[in-house]
Amino acid sequence: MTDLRAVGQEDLIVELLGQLEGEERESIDALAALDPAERERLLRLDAELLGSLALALEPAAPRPGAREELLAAAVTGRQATVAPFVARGGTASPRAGWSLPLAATLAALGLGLAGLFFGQLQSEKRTVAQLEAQLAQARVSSGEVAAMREDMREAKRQLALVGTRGVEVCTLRPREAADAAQEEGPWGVLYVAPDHQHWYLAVRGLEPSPDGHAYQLWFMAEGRAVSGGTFSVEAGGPVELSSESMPDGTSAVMVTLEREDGPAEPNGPEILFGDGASAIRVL
Amino acid sequence: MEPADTPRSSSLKELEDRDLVALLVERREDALAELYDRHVSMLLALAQRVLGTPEEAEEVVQEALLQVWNQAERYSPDRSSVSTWMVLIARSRAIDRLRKRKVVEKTAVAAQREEGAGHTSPEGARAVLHYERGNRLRAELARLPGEQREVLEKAFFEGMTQREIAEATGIPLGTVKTRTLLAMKKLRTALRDDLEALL
Repeated sequence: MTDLRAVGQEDLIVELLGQLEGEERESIDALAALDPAERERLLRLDAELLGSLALALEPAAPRPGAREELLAAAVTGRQATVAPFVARGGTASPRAGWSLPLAATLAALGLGLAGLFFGQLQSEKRTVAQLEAQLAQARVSSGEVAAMREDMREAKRQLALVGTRGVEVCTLRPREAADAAQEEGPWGVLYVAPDHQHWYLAVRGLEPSPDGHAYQLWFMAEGRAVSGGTFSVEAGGPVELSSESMPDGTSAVMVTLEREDGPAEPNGPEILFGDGASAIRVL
Repeated sequence: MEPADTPRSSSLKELEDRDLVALLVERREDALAELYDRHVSMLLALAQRVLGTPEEAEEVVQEALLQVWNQAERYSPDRSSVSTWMVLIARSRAIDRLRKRKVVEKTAVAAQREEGAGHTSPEGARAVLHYERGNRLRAELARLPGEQREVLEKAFFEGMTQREIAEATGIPLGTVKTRTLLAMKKLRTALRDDLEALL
């Protein structure tokens, strides 16, 4: 019974039908009084109706080559779960949102954080070198080469961001552990470019998410949590996410465990939290 | 040698959407290609309607189709048709990106058609059915009172909650709800035969 939720279908129908008041209540009561099969049928009809609305639009032609790119991505096993973070084609403009909440603490360069930063820098350099070596020796299909090239470009972008002068670095930890300097448990490092739009997040130590659930990144901005997308974790595997945009006024970030479809607001348990006040700027 | 009950690519065009999804579970990329050909034009139109830019729409549709590929086993024919499932996945991703972008003004613009060499679209009888369904839907949407059509479009294409619609339009929340419900009821009644055919 969770299939509809997985695509937001039932949520929309509930949104459409579930907030009625006064006289409108009667129609809902009548709906509830129906036998379950008939009610299910009505919901199904409404779902199909909503799904059909796209047919009312003028069809749009895909870009040449898009089909081949999709198939290559599918064949090479590149997951779509981190895709929401990637915003190619967007134009990034300098915005002050991230820097303002951090201004008071930017000068406080913590040695532990600096260690994480330089460790990450070395890690990215190693990744780029490994990918370049693999690419040079590759005797694989064109799809795999294309995926490898994209991985290398992404790693280079991340390396460039991590090494940028003026990048701001913020650690993410479980909130109860943030002040305890615990060595165990999950942690993450968020790098925010000087334009306050490009960012790169490296997370380690997360447990694989349970079936039907996924981790979700949130930007806390102007009193609201804005979803940065969902991601999955393989056993023991690292997580690295990046994008070219973040909401204006972001003052903190957090990772929660949510339903797999990624709700619009955080409902699940908080796993990691990073406050802008703890960030540093690499000079 | 392939099992006898596994259709080869040449016969995929004869299969129903749900059969193609079953082949996705078996990691048949030719089934994904066939689903792409059948639905990408509609999905792109939807994503462009929501996001307003062809580039972002392309990315969202690619993401949605990869989700279909990776989560094919979760599709349940008892819950929705494949086209509705795909539309709602693409819509969900487009709305998510729209919210992230924090676009306030209405971004919906008429999508510019690009007659590129890579254009694919549903074929034959399926194309005719799509076309006729689209025509009937457009006609019924046009018959709706403007205020009912407006709330439905804001809810579906712009991802606005009913409270947000009320605030944006200055219409009382209860009225927004009533208009939405009436629009759904009228469309459901008028298009019942089309919708029943999808069950």
